[in-house]
Amino acid sequence: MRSTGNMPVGEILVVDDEDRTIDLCRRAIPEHRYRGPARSWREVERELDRRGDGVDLVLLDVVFDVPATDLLGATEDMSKGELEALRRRQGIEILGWLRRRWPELPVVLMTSREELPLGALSSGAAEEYTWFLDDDVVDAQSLRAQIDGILGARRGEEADGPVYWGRSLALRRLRRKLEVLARGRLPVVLLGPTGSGKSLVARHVVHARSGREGRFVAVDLSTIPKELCAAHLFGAVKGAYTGSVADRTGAFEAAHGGTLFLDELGNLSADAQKMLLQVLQEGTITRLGDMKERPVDVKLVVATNEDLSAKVADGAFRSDLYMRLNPATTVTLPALADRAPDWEPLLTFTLAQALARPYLQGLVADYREAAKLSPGKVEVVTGATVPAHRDGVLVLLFPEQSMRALGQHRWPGNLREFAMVAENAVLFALAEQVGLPPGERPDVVQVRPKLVRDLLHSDVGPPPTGEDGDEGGWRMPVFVRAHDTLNKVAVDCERQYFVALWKAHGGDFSRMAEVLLGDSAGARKVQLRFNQLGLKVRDLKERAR
Amino acid sequence: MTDPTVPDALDRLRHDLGKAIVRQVTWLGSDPDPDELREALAADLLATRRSPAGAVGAVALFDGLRPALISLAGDEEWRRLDDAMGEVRAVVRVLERGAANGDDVARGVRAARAVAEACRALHRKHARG
Repeated sequence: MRSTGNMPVGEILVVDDEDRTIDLCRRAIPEHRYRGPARSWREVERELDRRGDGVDLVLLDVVFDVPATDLLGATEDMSKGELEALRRRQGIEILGWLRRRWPELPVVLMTSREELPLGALSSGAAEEYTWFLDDDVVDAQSLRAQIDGILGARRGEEADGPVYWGRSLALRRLRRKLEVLARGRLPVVLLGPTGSGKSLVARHVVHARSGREGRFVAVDLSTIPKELCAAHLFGAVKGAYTGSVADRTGAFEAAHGGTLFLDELGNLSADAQKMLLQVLQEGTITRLGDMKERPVDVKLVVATNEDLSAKVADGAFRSDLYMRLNPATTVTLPALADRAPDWEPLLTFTLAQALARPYLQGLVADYREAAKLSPGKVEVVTGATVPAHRDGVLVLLFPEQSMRALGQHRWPGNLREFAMVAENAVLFALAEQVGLPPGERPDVVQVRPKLVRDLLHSDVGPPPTGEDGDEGGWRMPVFVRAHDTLNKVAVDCERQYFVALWKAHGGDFSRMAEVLLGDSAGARKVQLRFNQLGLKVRDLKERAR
Repeated sequence: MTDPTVPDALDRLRHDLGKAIVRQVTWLGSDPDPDELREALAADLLATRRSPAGAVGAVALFDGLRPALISLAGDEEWRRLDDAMGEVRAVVRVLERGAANGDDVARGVRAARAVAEACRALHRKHARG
């Protein structure tokens, strides 16, 4: 698929018993890709079942001069006149059927509204996604403007913010549900595997659409020691606990008037669970060591990828708190592997974000300079066709095999992992080219399948089990990014070292502490640092599988 | 009382003839290239409906529908349609000989638009009661 700017061109299904509409569109509006003509509802079904979310828009004629056997709604006892009438309104019948199967698929009915029989269309949601021509017959420019307007609005809706929603109906519905929940008072419960975008959704959908003017405060409960959890969330007065040397404002107060996002809710301590229940029931908090209740107005979003009901059964999570977290406000974000039809636009979307980062912009600029390319946009192209040269356009080409490798990967780290692989693929593809003599098409940088496969299987290197006698340590490959700050490089190295140690010692923090601190009793400290580095045992276990 | 075949025939007249007879000419917009316009007019008049079964021209379509609409013969819009179709027949003959000049094309476009307008007017007047 081709991209124009950062957005792919439209895939348009023409539903018409004649060839003329599709012929005209192909000639006069060639920037879109056309499917069909589908000459009956069965052909529409076949096409949409095959292409699913790939179709952006349907151009639907009204009259279908087709045999009775191909007519939707025809019955054996229909008279000739009834069948003829059915042919005259077949497009309307097909539209009604489309709405039941694909309720949000944009459809342009190829007639003017005034030419439709009164009451031909049901009102309501269906009409939201149905358009008419301005006149019974239109010129190419008018139809192009209409198509572009519909596709543009739809993409604007989808591309709103850093969360990728894609074109799948299920995800668009999920987004709408979140937008509705954002405006309500009930807490929102986000479920979904690690890396599926829960924190992005909390910030950029729930908080952004809540209409609240207060802050967005995020707390990852897996990084806070259980004994400090309640103070961190609800605040404390001086002397409330050992080391409490001053009054402390908690996360709830900090988020007053805004949104509080509690990630990894399963890690909430028993005390904090009780206090959270108070907030949900009374709308007040009490700082640790204090008697005074303080009202808080917070939109609460909680996330977990644990089975809370199992924790309730084990007594590790309060049943009354669990009941308060209403199932009706639970939204489950899908794993990336379940979003297969979205790979290409997801790649385009992800790279558009990555290419806005200064270090990649710098690398692109270096490449342009070395390859003597004039400044311009970067275009992501997937598939087998290399587009023609256009001045200033730098093409990042992901051949079919590279796309296949992306599509076949399991993505245990979901969107987070995908973004990292896509970004690194471009980084390495560009870096490989810098310093080489320019090829025939320096404006096309190919992201080779081998590079993608290497990245997908690189992880963070083998465990440091090979002892180096001379230095008394281990050797391990470490992955760092060009142009990162030294601080970030140091943290990256530390993170990879921790992962390698974790793997080498089967996830035993005591043994890791022995290596790191020379004291196996320091397991708790190691685990805390592990969490601070953003590492999660569950992620590593999933990756190991 | 209205002949029961008339509404169906009027639907077909508006869609199959009235819309299709100006489709490609309209598609070109307000300032088309003369050669493209001639080609579009020829397509609109000679292959007004196109499907895997083949192409049917405007004259054949109109003649096919005329018997079902005989009850409208006294209607002013019908007369207007009939007159415009007379012009279309003349232009079709020139197009079929491959001898259409700029004037013929302009005449054909005017006639096709008049047919489209008359079909629409007839449909509004009779098909919706």
